[in-house]
Amino acid sequence: MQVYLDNNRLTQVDPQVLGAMEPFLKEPYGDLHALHARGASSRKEFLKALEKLYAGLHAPEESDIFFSSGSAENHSTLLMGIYSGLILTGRKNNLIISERSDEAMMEGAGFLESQGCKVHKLPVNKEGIVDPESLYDYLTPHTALVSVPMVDPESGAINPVEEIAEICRRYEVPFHTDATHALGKIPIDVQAFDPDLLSFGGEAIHAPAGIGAVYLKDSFEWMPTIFGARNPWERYRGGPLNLAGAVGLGKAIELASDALEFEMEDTRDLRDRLEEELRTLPGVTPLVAWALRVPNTVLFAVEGLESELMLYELDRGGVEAYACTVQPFGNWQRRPVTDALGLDPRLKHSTVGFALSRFTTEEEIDHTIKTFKEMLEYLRSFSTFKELSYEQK
Amino acid sequence: MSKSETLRNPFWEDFRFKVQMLIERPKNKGVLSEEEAQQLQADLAVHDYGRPEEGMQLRWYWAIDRENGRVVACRYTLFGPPVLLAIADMAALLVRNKTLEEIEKINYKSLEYFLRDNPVDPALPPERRFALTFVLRSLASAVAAQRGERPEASPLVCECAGIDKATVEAVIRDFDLQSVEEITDYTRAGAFCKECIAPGLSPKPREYTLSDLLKATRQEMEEERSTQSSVPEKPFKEMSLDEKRAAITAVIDRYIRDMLVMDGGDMEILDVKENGEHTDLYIRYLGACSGCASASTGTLFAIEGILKQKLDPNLRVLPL
Repeated sequence: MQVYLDNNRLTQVDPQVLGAMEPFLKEPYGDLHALHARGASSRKEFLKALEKLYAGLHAPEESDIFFSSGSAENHSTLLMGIYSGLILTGRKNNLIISERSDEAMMEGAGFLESQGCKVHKLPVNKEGIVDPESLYDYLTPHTALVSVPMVDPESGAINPVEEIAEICRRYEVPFHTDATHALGKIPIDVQAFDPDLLSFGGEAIHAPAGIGAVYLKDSFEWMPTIFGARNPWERYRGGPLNLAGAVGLGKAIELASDALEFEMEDTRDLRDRLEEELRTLPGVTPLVAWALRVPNTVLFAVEGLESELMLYELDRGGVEAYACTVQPFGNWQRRPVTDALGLDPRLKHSTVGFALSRFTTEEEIDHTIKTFKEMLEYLRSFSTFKELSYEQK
Repeated sequence: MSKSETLRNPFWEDFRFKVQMLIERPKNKGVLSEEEAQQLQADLAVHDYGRPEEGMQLRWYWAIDRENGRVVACRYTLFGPPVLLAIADMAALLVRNKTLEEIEKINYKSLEYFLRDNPVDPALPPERRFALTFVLRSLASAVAAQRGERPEASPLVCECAGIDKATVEAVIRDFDLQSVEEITDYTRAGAFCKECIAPGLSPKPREYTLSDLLKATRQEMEEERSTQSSVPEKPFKEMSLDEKRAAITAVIDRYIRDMLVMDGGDMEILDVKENGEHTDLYIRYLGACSGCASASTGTLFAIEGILKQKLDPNLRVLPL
């Protein structure tokens, strides 16, 4: 049995999404900019997808949503726009992001920093979330943007974006949030918390990777960095558009928001079962309080076992999980989430996480629990940590 | 990046057969108890090296024979990635039946050679080599502790990986490293927070950084090289027969002999002859090598390969 529990990185494409995309992959279709019947039918499907995005986010009439290629492009374009529009002209010189923002945001911020812009990284507190109060320490009249992701993809912690958005609104600073890992897991209503920008990629909501979208409040001035717009839908990002992806993303959002409540209820039950079973094992602790987490994610610190060895053993047992420190290519994270949470440094290399999706079944969770227990027993039989804390508990 | 670098698969899928087998079925893992050591008429020595906060820890259990001082049984427990498991298991195998002096002689080349599937392909991709140097350092530290030596503490360069100045300098020298990335491959220093890589990357000033150490050590190496060169600095082809013999001996001592000694074997040079454009080297295997099936195949190719690479492609090795 092969169990995939790395759904915060990539999800399988939903068969219904694939069904919606199929005509654009298998059959001839027309360009959005074409003047013929096929162009017209493409436009019709495209506008339907766009409408689903408006509905899914509950976006107001006077706002813009456009398609992009995903999170990395969203964040890069946003930062480059800020750079050329506000920082080069000397109007603003200061940027605030979360220390747990994604790689694109971090690297982009690093570039802005090298160009003389001051970048502040909001720390996460012991609960794993950004404390809205900490924003006051960094906000100045020269702040060009505040960007905090809605959900941390590793720990699953939900940031209080409503309060952060409220503070930003009071100080008249644009607020951006990355909703990639929140979509389909928690309800999102942009009219309720009113961010200036909200962006997401499709890979975490059962749409294919390589498609994403950006929501813009009417007052925000977005500077495109990909040129070549031929029609109003491409004015923020040059085309031709990935039409199949756009239609798929529309369908995925529709599915995610329609079935959010009861699907997440099921996922939460399965996740809780996994969490309850594993947390009783000695030296296994879930990180981030249950109530502050998205329903599909649980991250454990396992005393005395190294992440990569755990992943290797789990993988041999047919369970595909993730860890916070270890990545291929010999890269390690600069500051893993355990450090951000202020945990014992001995747990830094000992995390293993499970992210469920709506396709995860009960049998799969049973198999995961069984495999995890076997893995724990086997690896602990020759772990150096054995004599230390957990046996004394 | 080149095409071959781009197409290289850097993770588990690219583990060689032997390394993978060692990870999945380690034979020497576990704990040795005081009673087990007693039964073997041996003293138990337990030695810890590394810390979990640095990502790797190895605990050696050696049962050391009271009479001849050989390690008669060796086990380990560990905290670390799969590749460390493979290397520690191989090292435990090599340590067995050796005296402390012999354990001290285990070096990177010999240990790495034993992890290879075949004599020519390296056992590990570059970014996994840190585990090998870690195991070797743990062995050296265990030997030193066993003798009651307390090596001088060297200042830390990388706090995240727990790598000190002496280690960084040693790997630069031993492996002739040219860049900071290579230091990271061999030690994992600079892999985590990246603050120790160069001055200015850290919020607070640092006494040592990897790039400074690299520059200083390379300069020292250059100076040493210019003052002492035992083998004449000219192409192998133009050397006299005596000079050729000296050059071949130097290469064998430096790169080959350790590898054979690890298996309880050895070799000697009988003669060096010029044969047209070829140079023929006549050798005799000693110890365990004589009569070994691999002596006329794998081992021979390895010896010839190293000599060809280091000296001249027209060299031939003929075992008698």
